Amino acid sequence: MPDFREYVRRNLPPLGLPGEREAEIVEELALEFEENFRRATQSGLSPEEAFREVVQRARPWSGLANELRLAFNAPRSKPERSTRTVFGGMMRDLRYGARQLRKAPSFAIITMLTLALGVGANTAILTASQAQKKMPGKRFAFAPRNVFRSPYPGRRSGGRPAKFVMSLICVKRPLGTKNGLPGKCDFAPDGGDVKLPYGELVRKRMGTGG
Amino acid sequence: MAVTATDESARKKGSAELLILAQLESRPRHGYEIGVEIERRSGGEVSFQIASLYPVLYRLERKGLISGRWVEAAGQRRRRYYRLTRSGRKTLAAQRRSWSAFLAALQKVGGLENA
Repeated sequence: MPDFREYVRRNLPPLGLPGEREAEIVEELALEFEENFRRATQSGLSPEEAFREVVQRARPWSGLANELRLAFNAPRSKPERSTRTVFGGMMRDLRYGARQLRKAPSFAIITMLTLALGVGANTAILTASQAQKKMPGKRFAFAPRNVFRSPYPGRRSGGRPAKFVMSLICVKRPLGTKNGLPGKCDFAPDGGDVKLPYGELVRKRMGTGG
Repeated sequence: MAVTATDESARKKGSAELLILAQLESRPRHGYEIGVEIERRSGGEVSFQIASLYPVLYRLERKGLISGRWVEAAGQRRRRYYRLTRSGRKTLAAQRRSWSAFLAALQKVGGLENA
């Protein structure tokens, strides 16, 4: 007797069912093959002829698999052509993602967070590396910044410090750097401090108030 | 007009649930036995292949009309036996009424001979 369980397992496409259920289906179909084989040999066919006749009945396997998927309401396999185009492949991936999100939301969320952290860390490392290439010997963008004191003395209004007197303090592009690094500016209260990443101080006076 | 294999397949597909449920009315049977019994009772006129029998069996089970259970017998491989559920018996009775009415109408309209 041929090993029909192995034969079915090898030929039946995946059904998208839990592994235990698929194994039971394989076992049940294999039993059907065995009974048909026994019947065929009892009718006088040689084992080879009986095997040919029995396996002929199960073809095509893809059709059987689709019928079984329908019976279990499992996702039907898509025709090959829909995955050949970029758009078809993307739609398949999106559908698969949505299905997985529904089936295992915690796993999907952990996966998304891992990817987001990975992308973020990668971006930060590359940014630092690029900054160091452009400014050899200079500080990184996220390194402690230079503190500039506003060159304008703090004003007072009626004996109290003016609240809205601000100066725009700018720094020039660092020396030795080429295109790409602009000057940096920030607002500072008169008499107060401002942190800027690099450069030579440029004073600019802004509006006053308070 | 010739009766094609597609016509026969469509008729068999439409009546498969009734045929299978009817084989389980008297006692539980396994898949192969159901197929053999249908073939025997129909005098060889109706036979089910793997691709047509098992998907229907699983669909009926999912609908709760039959229930399957693996049974192990001494010296034999275990087999999955199916039996009619209460809901399956009701469905079988309803399908019998429906098919009887349909066949009676066919006999009248189509000029079929009485079985």
